[in-house]
Amino acid sequence: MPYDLNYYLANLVVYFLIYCALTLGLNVSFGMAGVLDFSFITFMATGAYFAGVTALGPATAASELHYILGLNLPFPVDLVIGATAAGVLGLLVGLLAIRRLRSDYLAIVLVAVWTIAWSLANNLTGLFDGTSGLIGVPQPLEPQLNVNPNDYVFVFIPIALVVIAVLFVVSYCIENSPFGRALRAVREDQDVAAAFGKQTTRLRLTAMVIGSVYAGVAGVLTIEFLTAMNPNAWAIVETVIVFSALIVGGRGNIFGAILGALVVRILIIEGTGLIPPIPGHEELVSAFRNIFIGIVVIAVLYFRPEGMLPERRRRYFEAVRRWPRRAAGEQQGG
Amino acid sequence: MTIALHSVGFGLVTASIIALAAVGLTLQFGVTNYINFAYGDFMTLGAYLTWTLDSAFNLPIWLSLALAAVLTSVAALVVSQVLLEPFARRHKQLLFILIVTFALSLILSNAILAIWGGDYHEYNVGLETPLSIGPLLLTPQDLGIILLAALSMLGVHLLLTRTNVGKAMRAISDDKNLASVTGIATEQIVALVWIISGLLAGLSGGVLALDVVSFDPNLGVRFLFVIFAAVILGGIGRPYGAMLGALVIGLAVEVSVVVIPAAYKLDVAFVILVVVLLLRPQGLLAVAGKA
Amino acid sequence: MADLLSVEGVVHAYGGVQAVNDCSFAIPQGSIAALIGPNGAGKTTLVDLIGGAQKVQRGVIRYNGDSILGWPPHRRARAGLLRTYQLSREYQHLTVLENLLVSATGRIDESFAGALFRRHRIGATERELVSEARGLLEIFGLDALRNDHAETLSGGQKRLLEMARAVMARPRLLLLDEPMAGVNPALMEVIEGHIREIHRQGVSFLIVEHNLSVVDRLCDPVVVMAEGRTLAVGTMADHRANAEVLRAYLGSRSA
Repeated sequence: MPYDLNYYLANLVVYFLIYCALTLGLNVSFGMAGVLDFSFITFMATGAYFAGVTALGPATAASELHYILGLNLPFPVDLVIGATAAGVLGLLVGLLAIRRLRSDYLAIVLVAVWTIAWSLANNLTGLFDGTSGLIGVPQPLEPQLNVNPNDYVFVFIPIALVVIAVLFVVSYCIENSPFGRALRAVREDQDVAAAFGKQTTRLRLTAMVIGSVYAGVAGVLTIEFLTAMNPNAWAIVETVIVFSALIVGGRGNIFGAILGALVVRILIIEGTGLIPPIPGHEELVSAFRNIFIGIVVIAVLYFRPEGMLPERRRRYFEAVRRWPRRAAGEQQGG
Repeated sequence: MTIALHSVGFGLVTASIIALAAVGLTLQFGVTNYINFAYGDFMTLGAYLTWTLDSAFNLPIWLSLALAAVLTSVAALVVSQVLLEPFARRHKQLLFILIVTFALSLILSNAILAIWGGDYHEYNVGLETPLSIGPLLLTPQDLGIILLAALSMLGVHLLLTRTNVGKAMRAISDDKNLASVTGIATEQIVALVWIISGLLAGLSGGVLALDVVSFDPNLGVRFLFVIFAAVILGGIGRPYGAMLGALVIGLAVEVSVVVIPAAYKLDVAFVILVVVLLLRPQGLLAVAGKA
Repeated sequence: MADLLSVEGVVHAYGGVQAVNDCSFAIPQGSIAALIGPNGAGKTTLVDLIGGAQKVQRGVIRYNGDSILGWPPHRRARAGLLRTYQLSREYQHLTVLENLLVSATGRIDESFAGALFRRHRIGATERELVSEARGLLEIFGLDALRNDHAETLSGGQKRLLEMARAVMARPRLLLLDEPMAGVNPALMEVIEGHIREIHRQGVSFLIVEHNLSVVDRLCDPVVVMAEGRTLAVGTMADHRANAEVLRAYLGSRSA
């Protein structure tokens, strides 16, 4: 019994870490830069699919799967390829959508991007095996270590930890930098930021690409751990749920992103996953869970939009210097 | 050649469905100034309500469609009064209300899933034989859809041009602050536009389900961006533009089947959306200051 | 020396309204100029056009001799052409200090690569900027509020923040859009003093203003606009003697 519990908790840790990649990524594009990336989950799928077809060998008749590439390369090469593919797609989508337009238009285009990507993934079976999706993706270090399948999770946790730690450090650097400050200014008021010299389109595009890379990494970790990915895993609801997690936890705050991943992905989703399904109505529990999440995020936005951990007010420590300085060494009175 | 002409016929049907939805969406945007991302789910609601009335209560299909549309408009009114408008009043940022409608989409689609289940549904209507109307090949159902859309467009036109309430809608669409200053009862107009929007959403969802025959809770969501494409092509907030956009997109989508596999025909709408956004984001009949 | 700002035959219409209709005037370097006129004269539109928020439909605007048509707002800002807003548009969820830091156009590395790899050098620059910003805030009396979110400031404090932020960006020409609107006399004196001091440091101004006694004390040249075009350019004394100007203002009191 204790062994099963360890195993279950270990899986939770992995799901949590992967979700942190998602919320941290959305925290850059939406939390800090204010980009309504309603296509977000598409980049997760891109990372997953490209990592999958990199790690898998070429599609053979025997495997009954159809997909492109099949490079049979090990981790972390597939991680790099997956993350890059996601970033490239993020760049293309951003170039199309990030312009001096209203948020509505941006959101509409991004929803359309998801819709098309999802439709193509389902219909173009030669790409990533269509509706059935990829299966049998080799897990990182698995062939080398050859552990009991149940124990593999304990191998994966440190891998995921390292990856998420890197993402966390990058997020920290962004949050505490002039770049991050510029993103927030653009979020607060795009027109004023532009009038004060910020290249707002470029900044928002950069934020979106960073977010998409994070999502791609999350996708890579997902497919590497679960060995499979199909379109069901990235329906439009998944984007709503990542938004919910970030908003509940606290957008604009890297710890808020982590807290949101914990509360929504682990507490709510895993928590309700423990409820036994009702025979004949298997979808009911998950339907009610999603309704609950929707209500929670609306309530948070209404009553406490900053979330559980609001964006921190940064303090800067430096002595006052007299203004203005006309030339070095020239003294100024009062 | 005949295939192309038949496609034009289908194009008119598709255009009719899109037009019903697009006009509802664009009218609501014109008055409230935010896009309702749950609109597709209101369409889905209309389809499922139609199914219930048709299959469970055995009402004739066109009556079911009409009643379902009315019920959907009630749902839209309730949601707007209880949730969306109070939210828009309290939090002025556009970002928030868009996320709220996005979350509303999550709630609605799952409520539909919870009530009706995830299996595919179909209306209780038989297969019909197509009639030859000139060069076009359409079933009586198709004709019914086109007629319904045409009547609805006429109704909207009359509303906007002949009634005080419709003229008020146009005034608010042009400048919300100005309208409230000159004494037009903005809140009542907003409520009315949600009723109309819900009505058209329910109607379009119902006929969409009729057209695709077999549907699941994702019916509206998958079609939503096609509606968006029509709305943006016509100029956001412009009902006549939406009608024009619907016609263009409906025809383009169906006629494209002549050259590309049918599974990708909706993607044509995406291409049009992209082209419009790159070349003329304000749409064909644009209003200054909206985009 | 070329005029700092030159507006030549500018036309801009929208929504069926001819907001700016063949407007021309020039502002020499080193002046505190004013733009006055009755409501609806097109002053705010003109500020939008000079700042780059709207596009000129006909005519030319020159800054420092160069045509700035087609220059996006951020390019104008980097050339020292800055504007403030009638209704204060502070960055609400940034602190007062951050509002200034983020306005130090082009003086600190705001790239993503810099955030990752050049932290040490950026840190040093940032400390400089913080010192400078705090000095500015002290002059404007806002230093105690530097770590508060800008949205928590009072209306008058937001005005001052708006100005401090503009000064931080090291403008050469600062467009002030009705800086005295709805301001009490004590604060008005403070703001006037700041404008004079900033001017002494070498900044030129173009101030849109309705309060004509302020304009009288502070500004020369004064451009009068009516119905989208320039009516007269001169001092307030000139304008008070000008029948056309008085007619344009008929029905509205001069302060």
